[in-house]
Amino acid sequence: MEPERSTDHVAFLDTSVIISKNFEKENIKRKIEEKLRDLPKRTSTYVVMELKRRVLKDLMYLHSILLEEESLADAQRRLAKISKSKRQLKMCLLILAQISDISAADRDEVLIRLENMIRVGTRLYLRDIEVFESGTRCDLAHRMPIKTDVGSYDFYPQWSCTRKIIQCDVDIFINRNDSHLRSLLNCLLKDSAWNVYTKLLKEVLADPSLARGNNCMTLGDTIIILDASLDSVIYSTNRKDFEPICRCLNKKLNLI
Amino acid sequence: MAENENATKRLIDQLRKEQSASITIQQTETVTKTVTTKIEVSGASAIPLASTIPLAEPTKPYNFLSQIGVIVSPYPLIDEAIISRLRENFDDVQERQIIFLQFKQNLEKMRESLPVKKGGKDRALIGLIDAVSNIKSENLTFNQLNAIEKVVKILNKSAELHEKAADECLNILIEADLEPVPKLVGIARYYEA
Repeated sequence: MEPERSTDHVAFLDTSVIISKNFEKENIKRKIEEKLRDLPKRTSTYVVMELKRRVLKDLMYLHSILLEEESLADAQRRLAKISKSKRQLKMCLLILAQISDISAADRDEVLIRLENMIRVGTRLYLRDIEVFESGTRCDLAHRMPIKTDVGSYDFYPQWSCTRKIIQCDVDIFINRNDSHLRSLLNCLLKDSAWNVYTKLLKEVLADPSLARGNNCMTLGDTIIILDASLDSVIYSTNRKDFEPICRCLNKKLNLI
Repeated sequence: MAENENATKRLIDQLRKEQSASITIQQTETVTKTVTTKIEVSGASAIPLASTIPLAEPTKPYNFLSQIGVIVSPYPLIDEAIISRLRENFDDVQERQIIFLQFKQNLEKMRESLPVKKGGKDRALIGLIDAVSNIKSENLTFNQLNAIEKVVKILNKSAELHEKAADECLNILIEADLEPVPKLVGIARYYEA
């Protein structure tokens, strides 16, 4: 017998769930689909930004490498030489292998498929999810991939987020959530594993403008959780970070 | 042009009588002003499903019947008749599987025959191939079939497709809950925090 499911809440999806929903093994994808079936699904533009920064940028990078090489084998050899980490190398090779496996696709066809993923991927991967504007009003979330004169893809306007360029309301967001963030700080101070994080949180609470740029990425999980409305349950696969933050902020969490 | 149209109409009337088949016509004016008339015959027929008959000169009369059976096309056409058959037999699960597989193979052959793979049209075609590859006939809905047909008609309309039109084709498929890109499996773990 099928277990009873609660369908009276909104599922707020974090980046990890959206990535798993689209790029996990088939049995895990099915499990996620089953958990989310019939639930209204929501996410924030901050999550969209993370999705673009992670997946779309990787696809654009891979596309540019292959565009410059004459064959798939050349691209694979080059990736093996230049990849910054084993994680990046394995992922790029896995993507190339899976795309080229389809009907023994050649270089040109892999390029076309990568292009399709870059151009309509965001829409496809978010197709049944309602997206609302994050309280941070992150400008990067609205960057679109465009084809450059040389045939590769880049974001327009360019992907840059520094403290000097004001492109968002993250400082306003920090001020607005001051009491929640102070509760979070007090709660996490009890756990030494969060020392680096709590140090940053203290600095940001003292000067919200420090939240801009790279610090914003570090605070990303907290921003995503605070963006979730009270009537929603947050869905994530990231137990390590989401469980303590949601517990401290008294937010409902469903780990997948 | 008018002469060609009249000649085409006469041919269609004749074919209708002979083959009892439905025929659709499209006319395309190429850059060189050569008019190409495409004749598609659907239903049981001795004539190939997608025949294209070129007109040497728009002003000269053309013996259509002598050209029947010779496929000369300025660009490959997707067989729309298969979709009609799929629609007619949609409720029969067995027929749906058999016909949908033919449609997939038809697209696959077309993909193999592409001389150069680039540009909007090839991108939309490969998106369509991926969309149908990612779905089994038993899960295909009528709404998805409509979306596929819409994209096929756009692809058959002209030799070239603007990038935006190609995106539109992909979006039509996405809206129908089809996936016009390859399914990537098992890469999520590389994005874990």
